[in-house]
Amino acid sequence: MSATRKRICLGWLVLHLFFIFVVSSRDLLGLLADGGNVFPKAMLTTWTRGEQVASSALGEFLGRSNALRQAKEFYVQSAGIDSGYSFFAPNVPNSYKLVFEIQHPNGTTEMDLPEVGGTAAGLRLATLLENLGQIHLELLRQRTIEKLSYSAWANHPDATRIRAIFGAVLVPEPAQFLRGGKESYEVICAYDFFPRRPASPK
Amino acid sequence: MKPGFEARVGAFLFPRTSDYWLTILRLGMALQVCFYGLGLRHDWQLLYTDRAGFVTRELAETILNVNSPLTPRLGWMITLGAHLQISEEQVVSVIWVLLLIASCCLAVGLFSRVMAVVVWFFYLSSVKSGGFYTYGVDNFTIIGLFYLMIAPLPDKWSLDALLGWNRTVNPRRLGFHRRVLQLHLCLIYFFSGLSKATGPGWWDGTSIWRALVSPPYNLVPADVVYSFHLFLPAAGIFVVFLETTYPLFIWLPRARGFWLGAIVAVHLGIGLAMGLYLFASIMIVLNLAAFATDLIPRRPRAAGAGTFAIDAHPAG
Repeated sequence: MSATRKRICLGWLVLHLFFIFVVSSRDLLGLLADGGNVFPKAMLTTWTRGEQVASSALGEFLGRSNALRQAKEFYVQSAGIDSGYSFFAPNVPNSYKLVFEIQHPNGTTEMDLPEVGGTAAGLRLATLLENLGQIHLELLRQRTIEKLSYSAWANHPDATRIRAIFGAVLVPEPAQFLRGGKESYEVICAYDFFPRRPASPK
Repeated sequence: MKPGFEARVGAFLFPRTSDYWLTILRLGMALQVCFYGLGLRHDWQLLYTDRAGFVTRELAETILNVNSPLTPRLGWMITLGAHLQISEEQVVSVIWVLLLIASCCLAVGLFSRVMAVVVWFFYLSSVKSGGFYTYGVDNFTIIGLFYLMIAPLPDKWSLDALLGWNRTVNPRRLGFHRRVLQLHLCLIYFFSGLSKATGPGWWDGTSIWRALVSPPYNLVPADVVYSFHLFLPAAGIFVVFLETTYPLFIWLPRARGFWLGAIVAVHLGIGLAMGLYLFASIMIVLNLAAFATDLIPRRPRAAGAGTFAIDAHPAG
């Protein structure tokens, strides 16, 4: 390899590793800033400041239409290095569940779940529900759950109302499990959907 | 005289390497994408079309557009299809078929470079258009496909090579590309381990427990997991230690075999116990491509020459 080629490779490697390092650091500092870790709460501002520094190093102080920022964003997304590696950290998060309560014309109700064709899509649905559990945009959550309820409409075309109940699944700790503790369900929100009528939040 | 710092860095970053690692990466990534496509065969339309989909693709692409208008997405191809009077569902189905065909070509090594680019493009497009559904496996698959796309393909075990379409590749270039993958894996595990280490649940076993009994990963019954509850704290600490120290021990020739074997075993365990098969396989593929060829004894060069690693790290 020629010396020029090596220098180009080296320059790219430094930039590439810089992005990986800073994106991962930002992710880690963001997690620490959220709390729930072994460090004292007094350090939360330090983590937040650190996260801001990492974001600045990634050029996030630039406007969204800035060409340099867009080029960086294109590169990190194309290389798959746009997010960190803090899976199941600092603690394993809650799972979420969506249940449909279907009301029939004769007044009877039955329960149903969102339907997918395979386990691979099931994992993606679980990811979607986890994202829904973490977003704070009520309208986005409502619209998404409305879309998810379409499968229930398809399965129950005579339904007069579908109540979508979204909640967190709480698993017992080992000690609670030993005492007979079981998985429980904490409702976060519920929506009623009617045929050809807008949704009404409960 | 000892070589200078620059020479040592050069020797580390540009070692002479065979292309066995590239064969592992090509084959592994091709199979990974193949299984991804096949696993979603019944739900492809549900995930990626606006009419049938769970979440509007347009919403995911609008958010993507705010951050990165240049990143590939299915919407580009759907818009193109609309100009040609092809419906959204048809375009999305064609993309699925093309992704499978391209990954099969990549698996046998036919038009390796072009197919690596095609697979990366379609995979990236589908993942970015389904932003709400993506999880770790997608990031790692994009990482693998990106490295494959820029690596000096074709390797000598590809069909391209059998057909005589390969060209001589500088072994130092091959070494450089593998080194990038190795360094990236070290950063991945270091940050993964460090972020776990900050959570109290990884020190007292709670996180392992929660990971194994929380739906939809609860393939093993909770009472079976509970029967091992005394080992859960040790398992949590072992995972944290294994990941955080990976960037150190994976470089030590005597420890490499154990660390690689242990990390592969952990991923295998995650795959089988939690049903995260694709996540397990992508991590195993990346690890094997990066470090496994160091462990294969090489043919003796001459009688009495002994054995040595194929991809040892020569100073020259």
